[in-house]
Amino acid sequence: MESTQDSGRGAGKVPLVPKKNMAGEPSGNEDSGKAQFKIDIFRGWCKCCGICAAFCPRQCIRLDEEGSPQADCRKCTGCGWCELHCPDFAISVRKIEDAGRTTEDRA
Amino acid sequence: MAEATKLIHKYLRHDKKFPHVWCPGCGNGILLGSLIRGIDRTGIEKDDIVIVSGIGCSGRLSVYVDFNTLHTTHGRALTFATGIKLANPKLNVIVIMGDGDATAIGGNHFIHAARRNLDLTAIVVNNNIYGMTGGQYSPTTPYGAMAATALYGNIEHAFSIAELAVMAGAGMVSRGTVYHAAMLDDLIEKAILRRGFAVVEVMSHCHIQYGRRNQMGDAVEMLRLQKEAAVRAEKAAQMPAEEMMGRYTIGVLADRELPVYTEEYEKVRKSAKEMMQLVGKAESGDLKAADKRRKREAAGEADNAEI
Repeated sequence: MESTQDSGRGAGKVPLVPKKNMAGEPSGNEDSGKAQFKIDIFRGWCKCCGICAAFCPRQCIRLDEEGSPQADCRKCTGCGWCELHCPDFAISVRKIEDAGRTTEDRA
Repeated sequence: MAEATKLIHKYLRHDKKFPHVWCPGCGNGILLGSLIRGIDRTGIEKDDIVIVSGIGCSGRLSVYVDFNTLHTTHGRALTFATGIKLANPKLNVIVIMGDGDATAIGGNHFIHAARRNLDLTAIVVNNNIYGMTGGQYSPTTPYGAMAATALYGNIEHAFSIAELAVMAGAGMVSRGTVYHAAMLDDLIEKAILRRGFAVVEVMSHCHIQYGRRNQMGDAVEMLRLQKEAAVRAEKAAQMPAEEMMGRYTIGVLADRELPVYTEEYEKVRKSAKEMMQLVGKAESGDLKAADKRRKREAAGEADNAEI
């Protein structure tokens, strides 16, 4: 599971539809032919307002006990609603091909 | 979509303190994003744009963006902007005001800027309350709503800013909400590119000062209310009046070609210059003649003195 930590964290309590392609399984990605997306949340600027979690059309973002958004990118279609509406510019949605680079960037 | 965030960062002043000053979930942050995207789409250089803001929560917006910016006194953002535009008509001047800023203390400036059709873009952020100063009712607080200075409900009736601007004669008037952010990008882009006074009323929310007092919930709930209350102008025209009660139209409400103040002013300057040149020629002709006469007389006097 070289999938990102974000998706791992969210997965615990979210009853996700256990379907074909889990993000991070390379074969799944190629087979489905669907673009995979990655939601990055910049914690330094996030104020935990909850707008992203409330309006995500695929419920990819959940709030944890502290109200902090946790992203599970498996159902993300890359619509970018959260990115457009984040009042603090703390969300960035990008295609999975540069997902490796993203995690390094964040660290 | 990561480009969207990259784009925002291109226009932010990173030496300022981030995260910004606004409350969690505030519509001003969403508007700031829309404004930057709108400006970027117009392709105008950073140096050719001036952002002028007044006082209030929305007034803080000019601090964070990397353009020529001016943070002015309460209600007078439009007057400062008028000065800038007339001094250097090449600049694109965008004015950010709150509802109290634009329609209460700066109400007169607002209607007269619209009447003159000054070549400005005015973005009025309407959150129905004076948020920064503690929740006093503003000219856009609806009748019956609670506020810090209306503990038994507001007894005054609200202005409708966009309709006011249409009646006052603004060239282009539109209304958007922060919920419909993608549409807001378009409206702001159109308003900037439009010659003449272009008003964008942005329906925002203040869940801290207004929502809490009126049991409207948090930022999320108030965004939902915007989604329900907003009706596109094309659709609203076909809806019966009863259904439009408590709702508002979004989209472009007025778009008309009217003489633009800065151009008219330039014409006046040109005609005045021509007139002055004519007068100058005539006067200088007279002066030369008078000068010659005086010289001749002086020479004559000198001759006489010698004799």
